[in-house]
Amino acid sequence: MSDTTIVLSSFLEIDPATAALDRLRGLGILDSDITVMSSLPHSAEILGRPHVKSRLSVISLVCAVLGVGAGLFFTVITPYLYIIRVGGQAIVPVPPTAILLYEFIMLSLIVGTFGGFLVLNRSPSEEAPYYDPELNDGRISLLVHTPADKEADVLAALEELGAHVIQEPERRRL
Amino acid sequence: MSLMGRVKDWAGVGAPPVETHEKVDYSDSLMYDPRPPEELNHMVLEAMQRTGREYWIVVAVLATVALVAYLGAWLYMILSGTGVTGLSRPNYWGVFIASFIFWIGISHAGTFISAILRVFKAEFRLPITRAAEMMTSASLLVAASFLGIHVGRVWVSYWILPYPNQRGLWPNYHSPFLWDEMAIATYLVGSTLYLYLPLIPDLAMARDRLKGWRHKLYRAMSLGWRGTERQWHNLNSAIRIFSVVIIPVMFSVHTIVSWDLAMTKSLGWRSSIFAPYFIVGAVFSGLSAAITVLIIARSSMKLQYFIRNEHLGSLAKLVLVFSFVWTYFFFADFLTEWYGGDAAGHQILALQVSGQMAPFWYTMLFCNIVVPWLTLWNRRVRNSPIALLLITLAINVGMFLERYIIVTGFLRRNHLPFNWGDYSPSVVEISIAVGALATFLLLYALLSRLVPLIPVWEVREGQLARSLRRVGRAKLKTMTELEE
Repeated sequence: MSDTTIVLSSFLEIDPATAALDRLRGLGILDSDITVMSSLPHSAEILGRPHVKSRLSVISLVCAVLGVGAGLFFTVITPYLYIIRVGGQAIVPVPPTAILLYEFIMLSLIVGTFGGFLVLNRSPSEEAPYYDPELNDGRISLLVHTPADKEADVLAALEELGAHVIQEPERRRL
Repeated sequence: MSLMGRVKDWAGVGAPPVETHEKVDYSDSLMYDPRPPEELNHMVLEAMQRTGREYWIVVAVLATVALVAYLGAWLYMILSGTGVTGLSRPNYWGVFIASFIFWIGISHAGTFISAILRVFKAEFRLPITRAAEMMTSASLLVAASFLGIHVGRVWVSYWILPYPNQRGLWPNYHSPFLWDEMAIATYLVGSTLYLYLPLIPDLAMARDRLKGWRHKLYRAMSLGWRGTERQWHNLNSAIRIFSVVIIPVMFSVHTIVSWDLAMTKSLGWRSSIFAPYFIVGAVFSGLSAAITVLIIARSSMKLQYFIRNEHLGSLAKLVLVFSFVWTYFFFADFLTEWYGGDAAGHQILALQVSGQMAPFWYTMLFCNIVVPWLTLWNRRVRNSPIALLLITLAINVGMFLERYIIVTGFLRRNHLPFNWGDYSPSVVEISIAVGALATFLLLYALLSRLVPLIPVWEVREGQLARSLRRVGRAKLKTMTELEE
């Protein structure tokens, strides 16, 4: 990786940014070597980029199943360890168990989804990343990992499309 | 032309102004009045940092009332015992439980406005979701405190936690009170995380612009947000999941709160209609409170650009609809008790219609039915912030009285006349109830200066997707679907 250079550039509008992505691909830069950063959630279709795959819904589902397990443990198993007799009801009555099971599932799903979001985004991140703070003013940033021998071509392509190029960007603590 | 270019072209984003012969004024619509991103950021951050002398005076007054009337009175009750309340046989539930139900109801506004309207893609929710979600978290904290206040011996609250102990104590899962604890805990966690998730990009924006302690705070809270495709994708996925999950949780909370009452054998409470009746009442009062808070926040934080009459008017229409639905449930509940012919049940109704509860009962009907029905159908009223402020305050007075009547009015009479009794809240109870209001307002006032009250990125996304398009001689509002 020592012969790889990092180029951070930002565009005022989204159209030149998407054009730049096409140009970079034309120069042989892989999509996986480009990161698009923006202050709005532009879809992969708008950016012309590969779809980002997220396992968040799978994580949520797994957490919901864990919630079923936790709920069953507390509402079905523990009542037999600490028997509380309530008039006319079984030790594990179905309607109250269903209510609590529902709440356990929901709580587990909610906490799991949030936890999954943190894990998938690797946040909170201690690593100092490359970042353009002007992003929030509507700019679109492209972070390109390019082979050193293609750096000049990449810079020329980006500048031709009106990019503000931050050469040799420093990692900054957010 | 790129896809985005085609989208913009179709929607007219960035296109030169269209000349038409018809003068149609869309200036009252936020989505069709875009401003540059830096200007939007500046407006929101400036509002957040606007803490003048008046603000600190208000905070000081609220903090004093909260400290003395709420915490002070609660401490006095802890030291003196629950004998200082007006509770006695058969009225074991009083203002504390009425307040608990009321504040849980207020908390429904955030979820309703944010989650339900998000699922249905209602445009007017965009700038007001966060203000409503903050209400949810603040009111839930206040509501949860009333459980501790009501039980008296709050220092043994940990007994409800399921953990092995030498006393052999274990939570009684048969009890609706435990369902309550679980539902409120789930809702509090869920609504707080649901408030936090869409906040992250705006916290990152604040992080990049502010210095000092605020920069440190937002740096920690924004979790290293950079706005990469992966981060946005995961955030949108999480928000979508939360939007769907939090709605049934919201319904379950007030359903279970209503079951606290409906699972008993007390007259008037044992009703299968209580769950939907309570939910409708909760959304009714929550939406009204949201309008009140939005009007105050808009004025005090100078957020007129973001929170416009169109948003208040749309919420006011919903309030009117929920007033109709609440009236329907109220009448159904009243009729069932009245038609049943139970002598003790008639005693309860008599207390309300012509007895000691009558002033509260008629005030409730006036505030919850007469006031909204006679006013909110009128567009001019819906466009008047002052009128809406007064109307929504009246509705919440009415809704508190409804909770008070249901909790304290129904317990006074039962099938055993020797066990009848009246109830008047003591000074301590009234003090804690008033102090809770001050605590809620204090929490909200502090939160509004700590986090961006307007979801800037959602407003910008909404504005990007909307534009005016010329069809013939008319300029029509158009919307583009930006999502995948």
